[in-house]
Amino acid sequence: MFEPHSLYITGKGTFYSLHPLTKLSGVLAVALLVFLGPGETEKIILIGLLIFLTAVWAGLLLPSIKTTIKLLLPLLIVLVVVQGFFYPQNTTILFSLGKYEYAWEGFLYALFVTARIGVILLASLLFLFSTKLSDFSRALTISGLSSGLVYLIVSPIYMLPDFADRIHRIRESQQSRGLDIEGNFLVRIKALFPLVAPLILGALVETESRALILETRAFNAIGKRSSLVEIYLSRRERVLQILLLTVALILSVIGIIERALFL
Amino acid sequence: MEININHISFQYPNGYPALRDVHLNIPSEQHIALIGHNGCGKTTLARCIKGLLHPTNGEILLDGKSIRNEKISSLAHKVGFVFQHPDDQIFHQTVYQEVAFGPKNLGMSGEVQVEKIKEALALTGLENEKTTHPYDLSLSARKRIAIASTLAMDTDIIIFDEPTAGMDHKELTLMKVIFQELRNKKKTIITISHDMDLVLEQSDQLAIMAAGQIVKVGDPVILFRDMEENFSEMVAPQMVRLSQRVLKNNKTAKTVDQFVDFLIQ
Amino acid sequence: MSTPPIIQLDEVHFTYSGGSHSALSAITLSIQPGEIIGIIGANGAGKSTLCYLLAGLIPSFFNGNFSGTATINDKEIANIDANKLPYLVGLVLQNSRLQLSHMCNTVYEEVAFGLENLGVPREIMLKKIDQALKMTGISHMAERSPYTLSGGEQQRLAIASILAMDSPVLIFDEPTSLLDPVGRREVLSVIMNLSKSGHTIIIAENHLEWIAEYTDRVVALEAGKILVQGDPKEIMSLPEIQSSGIGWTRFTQASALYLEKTKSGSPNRLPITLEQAIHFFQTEQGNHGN
Repeated sequence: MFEPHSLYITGKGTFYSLHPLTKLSGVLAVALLVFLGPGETEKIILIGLLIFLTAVWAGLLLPSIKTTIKLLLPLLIVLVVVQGFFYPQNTTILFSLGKYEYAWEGFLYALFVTARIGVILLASLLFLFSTKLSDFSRALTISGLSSGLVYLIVSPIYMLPDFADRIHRIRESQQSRGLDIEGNFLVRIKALFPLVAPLILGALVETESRALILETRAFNAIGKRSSLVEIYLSRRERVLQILLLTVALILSVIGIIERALFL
Repeated sequence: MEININHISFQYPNGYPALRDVHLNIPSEQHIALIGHNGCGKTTLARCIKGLLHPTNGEILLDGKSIRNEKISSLAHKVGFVFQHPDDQIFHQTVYQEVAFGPKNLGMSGEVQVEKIKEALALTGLENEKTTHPYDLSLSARKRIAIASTLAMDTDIIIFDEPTAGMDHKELTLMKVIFQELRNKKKTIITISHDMDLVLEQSDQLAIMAAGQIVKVGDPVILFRDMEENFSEMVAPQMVRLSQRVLKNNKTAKTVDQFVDFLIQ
Repeated sequence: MSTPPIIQLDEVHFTYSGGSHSALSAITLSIQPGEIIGIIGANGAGKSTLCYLLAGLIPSFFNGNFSGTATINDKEIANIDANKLPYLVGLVLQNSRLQLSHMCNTVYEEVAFGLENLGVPREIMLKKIDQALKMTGISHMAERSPYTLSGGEQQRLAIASILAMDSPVLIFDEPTSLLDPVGRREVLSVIMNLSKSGHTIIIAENHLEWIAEYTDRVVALEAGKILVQGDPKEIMSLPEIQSSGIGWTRFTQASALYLEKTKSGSPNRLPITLEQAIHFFQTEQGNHGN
């Protein structure tokens, strides 16, 4: 079963030992630049190259590229077909199917859109593959976020497999009682309530137990917490985080202005 | 309704072989118990009989008819399944509505529906809770609601997955009455359970599963009598252990009553 | 009984807020260090509520109307602050999956979770974790994901997570009712080992034979009150145990039925465990033979 918290791939090295929030800052900077930074294709190629080198440095090139392709291939195929035929700025016709014409511009645009998403995905995967979710939550706690807030952010990710399990069990239970969910659209809509309602009711009932469990594990203890793993934020990394985000922000502002002026 | 499980295998998409060449005959009106450790394939087998999973190989016949191409919703007329966790199905405002969900889906006529629901509520000791919100009741009471909601569908085959987990003595007694009533109604029953005392008392046939296979099938009394040598990891039912130490001629009692009868004879 | 009790309850009454009837009433109970106590009762009799009370969750976590006195180590439970309570008493519940913190990647981290919350220094933490993993027999699973464990293993992890915080009193609320026979046996044997190593154990269980065989004392509840308490091998065949919905072991049932059918005079006490039953029937048959 897919367990989002187990995306972590065991490894060592400088990239791995970066503070989780430094890596997260990197991902945020990439996302900002990709969408708002100045430049178009050349920007994506440049950022892509940087991330590619980072992946090599982290020793995560193969898994991250593989996962990116696996996730993006369906999107790429759809875009290449749809944009090739229907991109509004299509002029250079490559071939035609009946009355539909396939154009070079659309093809390029499809590649561009996919590459934009691909670059961000790749950066996120490097973060996820090299950071244990539990270390991320520790980093958030140490950086001063309240433990309750950290729980709200992190625990749902751990609960996802349980949730998926329950959805599956609920479907089986209701089907066993004769609920038809295999029919047409209307049948499926009608079946939605018996499937969703137990999920929500059950989650509410579990909330008390979860709170109880946290209480027995001293989650509500007052005072300084300690950490199993020492997550040390050096001054140098602190500066790096600020630098990454500031540069990304400044470039984004430039990009916004540029677009406002030239479009 | 007779069930023929014809050399079925089942492999999960990840390649895990949950069932390997399972062959089993369940005669009509019989109560069969499936036992074995978690992960041995008991619930996978039950899900195949219910049509929730399709065997990778082999097929399952109900009264001689293959269920391979039958929709789950139409199979629901023949096979009922009481799952382990009642909270995976309860969503109505009242106990009565919850129990009516199945019969309604099956398209039972109004009169029959009312009668079946009434009967199911009485059997599960819920006749005074018709208008109660299910979540105002305890977990074990919600379990009884889940049982009632399957009983009300009046299917020929009923599968119980760990029906007695978390039940107290009173509820266990109620469960025995339910099994007796189903027997009177000539239902075919499949019970998956870790409760060996229950299994010994209630089942006509016992199938022991391990690693996706049925390793032994037979009379529960005989299988449990030789339990120590065959399945050292399970504790034999209380009546079996007592019989072995007190009764002569290797007699083994199924129930408390039978034990006393054997003793007085 | 010269040693002072580790837990003392006097005339405790408790009603959940919004509850129509009292969940516990007139509970007076004293528990000696190192004892292993069974709590039995029909569903709804108050077993869980008593567990919560002993675990210090009433009235702090569960709101309601509380009266009487409840102390651990002579300290009023209600006044012990959240930072100190885990060092005194730990609670293990029924559902093993729900008991995971949902904040940890590995078994090892899961055990560390409570210690981190308490601010235990790292060097001490490592020692405590190793010890807790060893005592529950799951050291070899330390680096595994808690979500891949079986029910019995997860339940032992839950025990380890509590144990690491060093509480001398451990409370178990039906810890095995959702496990298969193998898981059951593993968990119960861990609990027996903890008892041998000096922990005070309080366990609510529906499995009457186990309670009769292994606990020092049993507390039977009915509708929030203590029906009777004492040596399980003596009191669990009392008629009120049967009539309160707790029920008898089949050994007791068989002997009662035997006496009824043979119209023999009733003995002082009906048997409860297998050995007692064998003895009972051998004696009865012997008398019959004469």
